[in-house]
Amino acid sequence: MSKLNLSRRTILRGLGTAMALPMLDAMGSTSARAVSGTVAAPKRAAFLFIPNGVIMDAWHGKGEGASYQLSETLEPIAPLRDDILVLAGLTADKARANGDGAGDHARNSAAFLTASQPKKTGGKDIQAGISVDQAIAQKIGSQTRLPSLELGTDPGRNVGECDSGYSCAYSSNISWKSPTTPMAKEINPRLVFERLFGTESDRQAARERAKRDLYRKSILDFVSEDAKRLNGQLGASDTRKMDEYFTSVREIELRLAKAMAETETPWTPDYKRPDGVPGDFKEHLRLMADMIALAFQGDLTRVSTFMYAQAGSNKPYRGIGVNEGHHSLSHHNHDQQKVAALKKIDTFHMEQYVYLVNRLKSIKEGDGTLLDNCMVMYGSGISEGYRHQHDDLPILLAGKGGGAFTPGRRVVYPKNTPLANLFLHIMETMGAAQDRFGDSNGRLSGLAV
Amino acid sequence: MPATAWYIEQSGRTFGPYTTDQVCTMVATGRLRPDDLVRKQGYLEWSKVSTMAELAGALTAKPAGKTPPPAPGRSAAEPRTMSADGQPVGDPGKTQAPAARTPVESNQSKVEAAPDRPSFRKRFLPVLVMSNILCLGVLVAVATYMAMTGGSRDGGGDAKVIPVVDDTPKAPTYETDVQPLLAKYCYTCHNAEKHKAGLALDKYTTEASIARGRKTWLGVVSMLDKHEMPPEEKPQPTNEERKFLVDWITAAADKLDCNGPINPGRVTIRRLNRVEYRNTVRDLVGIDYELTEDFPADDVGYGYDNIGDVLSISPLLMERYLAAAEEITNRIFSDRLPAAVDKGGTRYDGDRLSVSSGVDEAGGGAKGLSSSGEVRAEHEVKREGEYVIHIEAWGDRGDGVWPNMAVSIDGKHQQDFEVNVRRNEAKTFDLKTTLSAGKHRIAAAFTNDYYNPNHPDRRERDRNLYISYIAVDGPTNVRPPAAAAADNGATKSPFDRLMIAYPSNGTKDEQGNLVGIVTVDEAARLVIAQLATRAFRRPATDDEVQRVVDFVKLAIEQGDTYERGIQLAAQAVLVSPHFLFRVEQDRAPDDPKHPIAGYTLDDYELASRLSYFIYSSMPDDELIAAASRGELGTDAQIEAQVRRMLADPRSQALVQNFGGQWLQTRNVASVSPDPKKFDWDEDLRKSMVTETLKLFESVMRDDASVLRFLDADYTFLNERLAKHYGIDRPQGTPSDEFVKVSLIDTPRRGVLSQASILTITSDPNRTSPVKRGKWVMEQILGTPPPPPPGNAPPLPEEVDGKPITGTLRERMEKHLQNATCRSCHERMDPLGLAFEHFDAVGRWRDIDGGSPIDASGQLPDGREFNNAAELVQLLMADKDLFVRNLSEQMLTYAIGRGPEYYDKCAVDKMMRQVADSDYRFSSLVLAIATSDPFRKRTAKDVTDE
Repeated sequence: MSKLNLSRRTILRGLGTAMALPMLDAMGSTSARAVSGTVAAPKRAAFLFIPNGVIMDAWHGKGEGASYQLSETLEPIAPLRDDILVLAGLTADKARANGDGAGDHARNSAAFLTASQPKKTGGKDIQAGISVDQAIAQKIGSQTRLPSLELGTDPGRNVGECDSGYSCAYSSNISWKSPTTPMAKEINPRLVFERLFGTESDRQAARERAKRDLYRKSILDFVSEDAKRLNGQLGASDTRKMDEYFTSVREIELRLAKAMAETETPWTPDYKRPDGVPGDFKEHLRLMADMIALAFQGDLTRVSTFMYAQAGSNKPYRGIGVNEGHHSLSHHNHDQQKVAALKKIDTFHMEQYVYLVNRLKSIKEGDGTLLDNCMVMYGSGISEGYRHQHDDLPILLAGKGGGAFTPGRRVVYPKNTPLANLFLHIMETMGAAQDRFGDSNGRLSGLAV
Repeated sequence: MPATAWYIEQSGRTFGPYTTDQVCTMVATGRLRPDDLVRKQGYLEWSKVSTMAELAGALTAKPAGKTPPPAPGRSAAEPRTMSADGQPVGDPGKTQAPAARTPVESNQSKVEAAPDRPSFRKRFLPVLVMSNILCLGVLVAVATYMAMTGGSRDGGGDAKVIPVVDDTPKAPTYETDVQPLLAKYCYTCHNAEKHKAGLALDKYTTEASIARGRKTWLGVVSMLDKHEMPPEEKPQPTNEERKFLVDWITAAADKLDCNGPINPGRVTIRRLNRVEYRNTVRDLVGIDYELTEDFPADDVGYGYDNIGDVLSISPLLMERYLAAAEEITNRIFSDRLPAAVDKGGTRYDGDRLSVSSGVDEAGGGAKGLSSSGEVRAEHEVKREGEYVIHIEAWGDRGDGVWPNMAVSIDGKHQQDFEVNVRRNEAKTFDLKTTLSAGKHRIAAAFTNDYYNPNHPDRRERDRNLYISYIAVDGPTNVRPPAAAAADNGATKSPFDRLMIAYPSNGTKDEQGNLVGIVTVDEAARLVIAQLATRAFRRPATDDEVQRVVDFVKLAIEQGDTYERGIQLAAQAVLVSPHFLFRVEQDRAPDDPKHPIAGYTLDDYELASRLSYFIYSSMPDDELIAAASRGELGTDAQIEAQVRRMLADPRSQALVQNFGGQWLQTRNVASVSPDPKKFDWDEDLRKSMVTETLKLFESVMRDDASVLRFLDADYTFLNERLAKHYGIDRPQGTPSDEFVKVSLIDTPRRGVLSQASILTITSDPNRTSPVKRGKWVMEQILGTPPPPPPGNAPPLPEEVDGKPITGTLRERMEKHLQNATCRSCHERMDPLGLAFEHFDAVGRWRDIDGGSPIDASGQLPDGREFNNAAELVQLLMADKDLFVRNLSEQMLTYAIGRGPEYYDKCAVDKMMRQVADSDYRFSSLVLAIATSDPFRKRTAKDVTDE
């Protein structure tokens, strides 16, 4: 693996003036500053989730290495072929029943990034595992304004059981801050934008900022103290809730402290503030992709997750002429019309992925592009939706991760290779190396040549 | 003949229906024991197995613990020991015939004489015929099985025991059947001496001790069941022994003595969910903070979004709370002063003013009043509230007296103003008043004319009034109707409600002493004590108040005002965990001898439970007052409050939040039926939700029987829905009003044939009888089908080499040709197919896919129906199932945790109370509010073990 070492000067030359500030800022404040005056551009990782698996017959490409043949569903990536790795044979074993019976959809999302068996419960003692994005955020999250960014599109207003005895917390979240705390996702692009770049009123109040920040800090101090005092009086399950509260407050405190120490005006992109959740699904997915690109561009966060829809989603895709619900379709029973409709959905999702990858590629960073420093994983914890299988998952990874990955190839791994093995490689690239993660049994090989 | 349907009760849950045959198998194999409760369909009472004549044979046949008990619901799928015509294999003469038959079981001929019915019936036939001979077949099967496995209780040589030889009914006991197995496989390591993994299983010497050590034993069961214990290298129990131990221990561990101390459960502290937060802020400070929609969605557990364990806090949510607190307090303080006129007010000047006679133009659009008369503005108020009327005026003084301007509204005098400024100093005279919605005439009149051309001072000869405009600004205190109603019309603004004290430098009294000094600290304490006490829903302690008051001092140190300090302090209160969480303090158990029975919540905590249950909001003043007087301790006191609260408009929250989640109408928001295929638009989407909630509301407001949810022969329709249903509404009713309409001559009854429920249980482009059937089992009967087995095969493409074709119904019938599918689908599918006359958006249809619809069917127990309305009648026969389910659902919602095995006793009691009160809605709410799980909590360090 080769690290992309750039001099400060190189970076400045490569970036527009608008970009210079945050990058300088990041360099100045992060551990990215390397010995002898060179710095490595920060790496970023995004994890994208699609529900209900895919039609695997149309997904599988042929061959291995750089000369592999693109499959029907992967056709949209043709122009980006050299930027994407196609990984076959990876498995999410913890999405399997392993004695817990039905509930493959809830498990597929809960296990996707945690590589841990979610506890089967309708609500009491929910437990999965810390997810890869959060494990990374815990290590490097303090270097950016937001430690991580969790995005989605579904309001998650489902009522009732979400899947065969599993709480909805499992099917509406892929990111878990701790084994018992899912990270709520943001679905409104306007609110994401405001988290990243502030609200209109934040700008108006700029003069008053110092005092406001002081007040905010005093309130945070006050409530952490409250939480601490309260904690002593509570039992175990209550304490867990207080811990969630306390860590959330703490995270905001850190962010505020960093903002108070900042002397530069924060970077604002030349981008129209989104109005809110658009009616069109494609537009929604693209706005959210823009948010990831902007956050990465401004180095406001380095880790993001994005659920295209929640696990087991039964959304129809009218925009592309699919009127039946996605989940119902996935039980297609080899009905050719249904299979065709599913392929349309798979292709549609792929096009949205391509949109994000293109966005990242269009942004210059250093001598290359932002994409060069990214790892954008795309996939599902279910392979063939029809059978609820969790092996040979459809997984793509775009970007070079600063040189840790050699895209433009298809790599086939032995059956039942844990997906978590890929996570180990991503984690190390991100500067958050671990020996083990979830059900990993070794670092995935063959990612760089 | 139709079989009898049986229900069984285990672990506080109801299972079934089962055929007699299935129940017999369970009895014969020890899965059901003599003391277990069973209930026959059509009977209200639960009875012990040992008292049921039909099952006596099976009881006596108890074949020791070596037979694999069938899992509920799976056993009778394959009539192994039957010949095709239903005769038992073997010699029935050797088996004791059961004593009694119920009358409903004697018309076999009727069933068999109906060969013209579709093939649907046939698949049930083996089951029906088996039931005919009650337990005989099973006994033979069990005996055969035992013979094959060589099992017998004594493990002696006479292995081929014929069950009936045993003439004393004998269930397996801990001492004789279980302990020997434990000794053989477990005690070697898990004994008092070695206690490997901290387990000394041999110290459990009685069956009752298993229940006391429930948690431990369920752990043991789990290890056994997953084949994780005994360890590989140790002797292994046979599969039959393993299954027997798992089933027997599970049952023993879950056994409850309702007369003994019962665990009331421990509700995890609950964060306010989005709805509760918005309502609480509304009731606390009078601001309707609608941006809770921007909070991340609350996760759902057990079907509800108010479950303590799944209501987590993420940094994202915490950010939103902080922002909300800033915004809410900003609103409180910005409401204090009228916004600038040009912002939201309406200004009438020039030709927009009307005038009475005698009023002249005074230049620049101003009006001059020289002798009398008035200037008027007609203003329409959209929302009732507090408004400020500004009138810009000036005057000419006459004889040393300024002109008097009398302001009236709708002819009613309001206030006199001395207009004491000349033209170049013209200013506005302001009047604060409450205006109701509608048109108002605001008038300013000149009432003290003076004219004396001989006055010595030229400038004092003519008194005149000039008015340049009238402006109306406001409302300054917009509050949602609910909050206004809650206040009994009190019109205090959020600001006035909060700011009950100000610091003061004092005034001099007659003796010249300075009196009435109020320090910042004193004033702030008064304000904060009131706010924090209401926000924390209990008296705030001195220390808590002081810590918040420190914010006021901080603001003043920073050069801000007292008011800004209070605003900051209020912000802190709104993000304190004491506000965001409903904290219940830990206490010692009521009875130290029975710590498991928990402790009783204090009155403030109970007040919060009551108000969040019924209002989804903080306790109102009356409830808090009752708590402070200690008047929530008895059933009667709780009842008084509950009845009062149910009558309050805020109980609408129970309709919206419980009704909307139990009946899942909230899901209507996210369905997307194909508008090309179905009559669908956004108006219909909204209307169908309202219909269902209206029915819920009417049952609550009229205190009707909860059974009306099932079988109401009336509903509430607006024009859009009436058209959708093809039902006439009374003439002359506004099209958007929901009016009560009779359903007597229609095929619709209760919630099940309402468009909302029919739509949420459909796919976007077709109905889904499976989803509908599952919905009935889950939300109505509370007997959810087990989840499909892992990798459940889809409907087979072909059967016996022939491809399956045909209507949805015909295709679905293939479910029943596969034993795996049949065990569940034979219950789900008929329940769903009964509603096939209603399309995927609940509209009536006669034909689907070119074929006429057949909505008839038969339940697995043999009861038949022709359509949805008849099915509803059959469900009514199972009304105690429905009521039990509704009780459990509402209890879950009320206490914010999932049902546990130990809730059974409480739910049993609720069922009796509700039945005794003719199933009235209020009786259910009362039964819950006075139950132990609602009023008590397990102490923190007490668990089952």
